[in-house]
Amino acid sequence: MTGYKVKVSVELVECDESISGSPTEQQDGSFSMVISEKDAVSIDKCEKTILQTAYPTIRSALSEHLTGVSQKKSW
Amino acid sequence: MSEVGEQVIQNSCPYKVDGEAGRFTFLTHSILKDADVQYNTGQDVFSCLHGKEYYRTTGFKEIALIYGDTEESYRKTTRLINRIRYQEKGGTPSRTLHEATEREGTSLLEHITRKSEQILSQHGFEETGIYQGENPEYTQSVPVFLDQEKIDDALSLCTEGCSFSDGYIDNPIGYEDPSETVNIAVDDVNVKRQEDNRIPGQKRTEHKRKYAHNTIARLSHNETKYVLNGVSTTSLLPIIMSFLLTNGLSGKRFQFFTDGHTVLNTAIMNFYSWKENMGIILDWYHLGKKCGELLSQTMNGRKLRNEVLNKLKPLLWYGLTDKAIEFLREIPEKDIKNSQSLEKLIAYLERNRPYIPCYAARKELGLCNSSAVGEKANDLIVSERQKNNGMSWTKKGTVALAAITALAQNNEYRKWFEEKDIDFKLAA
Repeated sequence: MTGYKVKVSVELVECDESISGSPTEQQDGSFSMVISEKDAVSIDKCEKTILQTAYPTIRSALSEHLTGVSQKKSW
Repeated sequence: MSEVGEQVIQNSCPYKVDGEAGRFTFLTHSILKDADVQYNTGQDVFSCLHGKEYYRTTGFKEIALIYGDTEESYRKTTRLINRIRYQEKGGTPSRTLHEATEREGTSLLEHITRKSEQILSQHGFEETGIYQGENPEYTQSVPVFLDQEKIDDALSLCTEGCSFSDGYIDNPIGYEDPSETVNIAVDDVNVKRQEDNRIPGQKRTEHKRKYAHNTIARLSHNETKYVLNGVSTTSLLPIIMSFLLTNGLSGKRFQFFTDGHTVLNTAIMNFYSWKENMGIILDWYHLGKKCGELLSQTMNGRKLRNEVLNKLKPLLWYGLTDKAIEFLREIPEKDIKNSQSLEKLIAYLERNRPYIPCYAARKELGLCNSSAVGEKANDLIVSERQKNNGMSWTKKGTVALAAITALAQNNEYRKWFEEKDIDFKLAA
């Protein structure tokens, strides 16, 4: 193996789930947050929600990756 | 949603956003019917933008204005926000941030002025803040002072440590009841002003230094406070009045603390000529400072100056203005370097006699003696950011930036950025 590929994908998809006030961790390790249809039209609310959700995702990805690197180096 | 006979087209100009996430654009759409625009998401869904304008998100404003250019220079702030957003190329230019901040501050000041005019009019005041009605709540306000017993106790405590006769007991300035009083520290702050028009090649004339003016008022009552700013005392006084009205404080005593500047004191006294329950106190810090400065010019040498100041200050601390003036008049001529400065100091004390209380008794009573909190507000709102080496400001620029800083100090920025309104309420 010669490197690591960093893949980031942020999706905003319509759903019928109930609105959440903060990012919640999913079973696959990703984070998600549900906003109302009204907030989804607001530039301010969309930006805030994406950033609010992205940062825990970034921290979690970094943590998981570095744990893996550490584990690998210790073998 | 488009209907039969209508056509959806993509608008030619992308919608531009400057956000916490960085600068980006997106496409907006219009619905056309017979070549006429029926609906445009660029105006009907999102805020309408003009020309090269960017939509600045609330997150961007919070970072760039509240945590950014109210603390540091526009250049440093743009460098920081563009770095944080990984958009060092194509990010926000510092000049753009500068202009956007000025616009935001100006728009905030206009909003406060409009709000203030509405409040004043609702309460039967003129737009200028003058009350000409007959509501006894405003016109028949009798000064509320502390219990005589408490005052007597404080005065007797003063007598214990005082070597003067009891002239200070007769000082006519009352001792306000703090629970029934709003303390208002008003002061002017001047910053270096930029030339209105810079003519290339023309040398700057240093003989006439120009300043841009800011007036800051800090209002406090029962552990709550609020800071207001404006271009002048006259423009700020109606706003202060509207603030007091909207906070239900119009019936309280208005206790002003000033630096003794004649224009400021006259403006306050004229403005509140209809209100009996108000007063001005010459801030102790400024009184001492002024005496020190003028005695330095008056006396022959530092030693003599300090001797006189050490005798003068206790007299003033006990509010014995007449005795202080008498003492100054008795200074031997041989010790005086500049008699004009001495006359200036005497005139200053004469002029401010109605505003010099017995500071010693006030201290015993736990009353405010100084506009130190007001001075601190000046530092926080204007001086710390705007009075640095090499900085100069336009009249509009200094007041607009100070308005944004006050918005941050009052913790009103979220409401302003999101709803374009402020609570205008005292807060802890």
